[in-house]
Amino acid sequence: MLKVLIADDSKMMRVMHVRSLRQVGYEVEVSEANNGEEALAQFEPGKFDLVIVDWNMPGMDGIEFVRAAREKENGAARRTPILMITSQSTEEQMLKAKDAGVDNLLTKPVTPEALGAALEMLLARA
Amino acid sequence: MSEELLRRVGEKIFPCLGFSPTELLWQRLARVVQQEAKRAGAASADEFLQRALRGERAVLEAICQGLTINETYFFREPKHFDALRQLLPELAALQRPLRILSAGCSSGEEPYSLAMTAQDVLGPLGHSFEILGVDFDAEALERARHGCYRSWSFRDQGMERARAYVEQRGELWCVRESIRAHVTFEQLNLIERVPTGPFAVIFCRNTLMYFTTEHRNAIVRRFTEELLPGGVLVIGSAETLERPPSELERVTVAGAYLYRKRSRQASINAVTEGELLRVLLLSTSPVTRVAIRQALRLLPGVELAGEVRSFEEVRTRLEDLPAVVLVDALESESVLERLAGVQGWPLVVLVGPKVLAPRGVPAVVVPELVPGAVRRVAPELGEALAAARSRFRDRPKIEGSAKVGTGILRKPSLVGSAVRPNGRSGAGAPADPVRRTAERLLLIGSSTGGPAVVAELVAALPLGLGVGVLVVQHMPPNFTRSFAERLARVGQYAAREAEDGELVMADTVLVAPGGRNLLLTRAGRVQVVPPEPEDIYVPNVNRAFVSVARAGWGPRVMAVILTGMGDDGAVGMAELRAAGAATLVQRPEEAVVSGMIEAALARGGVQKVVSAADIPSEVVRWAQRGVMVPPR
Repeated sequence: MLKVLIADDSKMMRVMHVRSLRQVGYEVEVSEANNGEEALAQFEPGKFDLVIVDWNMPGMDGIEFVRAAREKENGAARRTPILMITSQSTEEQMLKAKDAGVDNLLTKPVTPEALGAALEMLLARA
Repeated sequence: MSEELLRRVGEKIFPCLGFSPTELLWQRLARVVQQEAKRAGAASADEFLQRALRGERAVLEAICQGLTINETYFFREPKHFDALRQLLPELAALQRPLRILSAGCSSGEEPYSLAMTAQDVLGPLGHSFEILGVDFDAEALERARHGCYRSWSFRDQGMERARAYVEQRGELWCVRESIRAHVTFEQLNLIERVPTGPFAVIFCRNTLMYFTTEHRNAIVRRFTEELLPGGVLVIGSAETLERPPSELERVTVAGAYLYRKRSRQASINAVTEGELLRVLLLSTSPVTRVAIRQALRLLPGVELAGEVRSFEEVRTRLEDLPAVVLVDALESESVLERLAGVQGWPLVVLVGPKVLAPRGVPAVVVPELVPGAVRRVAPELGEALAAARSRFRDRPKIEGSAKVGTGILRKPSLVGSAVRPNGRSGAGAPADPVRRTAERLLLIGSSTGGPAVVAELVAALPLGLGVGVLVVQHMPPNFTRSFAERLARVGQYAAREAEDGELVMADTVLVAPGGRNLLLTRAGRVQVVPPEPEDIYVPNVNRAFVSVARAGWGPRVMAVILTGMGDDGAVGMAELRAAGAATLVQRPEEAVVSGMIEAALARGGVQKVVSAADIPSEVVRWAQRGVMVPPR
């Protein structure tokens, strides 16, 4: 059972991610957040196997959340894999995401296959 | 960071690198300095810059290196790869092996992505290809040769598209050997030298923008020279060429902008009618042979089918392979004396200056024996070859003659022809009104290099054996239809893409549709179903073979695995063997790629190893006697 935190302001997107995860064969236990603040309140080092976070959210956005989460994690034995979903894929933006501590990034639209391949690569480290 | 110091460092470094100081480059320099100063443990960025100004070598090198490393990842700008995918089948007609240059390849993500794309499209067609990656950063090339990357290198669509071609080693993902085997790397500075072509495709993305305008124009001119007519140049989507050479035409393919070199040899294309013109080269000189090989590569639609050293070898080769013979008389004129004896061949002679070719033999003259001279006569050579072939074709054919001239004709099939089962009006053959369902099945699993072998096999199958043929050839969607049409043309069997629910008939070939799997029911009907997520190869040979075994057809089946990469089919063949099927593989030594054959052999389901040319007679014996002749 994969413990996943999904932060996205769209309920539909959250449901789609869960459906995609199941479709590619993961059994998941999902915690949901509407924005960065909600996600950060739930985030604890080691609590989740995976975080999927949207870049654009009202209030605290994905990048700010990742920075804060990595700070919270500072000194923890293992980094939680964080996958960022975004509609912006310029070079500068990708590097910004990487600097913030994102482990991998997918550009919308996200197909179940793309999500599956991304997770395989992210979770293989664990 | 002091802007003044940064400016002075930039002014010192940019000219040596041939970079033009754009706003983008200044930003990049600032970022690189910050990053490298931190890495080197400098007290501050300013201190680092001062060390650079004092000429400290290590510091300057670190900055240069940081500037030239392109931030790159797999399938960056996916549109370019979609465009390539769309163009590749067409480009494949221009060159074999198809050659692609990745200029400014950095740590290798781009050339590997190109190889994966080419493998997707060309692998199943059995068309060979080579990728050359060049860069001037030796350290980046070192990483490229290593071929292992962190998952961040697969961001955006990279992971989805590359997944089938990488394997995990610890935290890293390494490009599989099957892809690496197609890619070579070379260190060079594009300002000094552009690699020698010809190339069908050149990718040079987000690299030109760092050069000065003069250098940039010079490099693009050189690229254009090294590009095949009809070949394409792809630059970064944020880049444009200010003054592209007139040979380059800007085109849009699959939503991507790219440059295409205008085709000058349209006339040759017209003569070859889109069909490959195969050339058998007879040459005794290793030096001129290389020059001729290069000239032939320039000709779209022309394929070098083989190289031989004597007229006797030509004779044997022509028995199996229709080709125009190109006789190299550049260095040894003595071969000309023997031409009188081989008037029946379609041939062209290549002669040097001041040499007279015998009367009545088409000759192309190379006016001066200097480097590049043969390449310059390529257009004339192409026309002469095409003319030789069409002359030969129009000539009345003498069946059964012992003369070598018959080599270009199709070999008669093993058993006398019966009736065309598909009702096409062959030469006076009435359509067979009664079609029978197949009593036996010939299953063929095939991949890289397979289509040609399958075609030869099907061409040689006699009618009336009661055998229906199922072909599972790894191929992308859209290709299987034309492949099936090709099979229908070459032989006496009816051939088409399989349709869900149809009964397998005798004297008929059904090809598994691309992107789908083909299964069989107990009643002998095919099912066409979507592939399972874990099927790396589609259409999948294992799925087809296993379904036939489980449908109880085992004893009525002969299964064959031909050339191909990977291991698809091995499991299915073992299961078929256990269910009583006759199982064969092509001799691995003669396969284009022997992976699938080796895998089947290793799995233990193979009864017999035979040459592809002997498979039709094996089928006949098996169909007539119900058993295979035991291996000798």
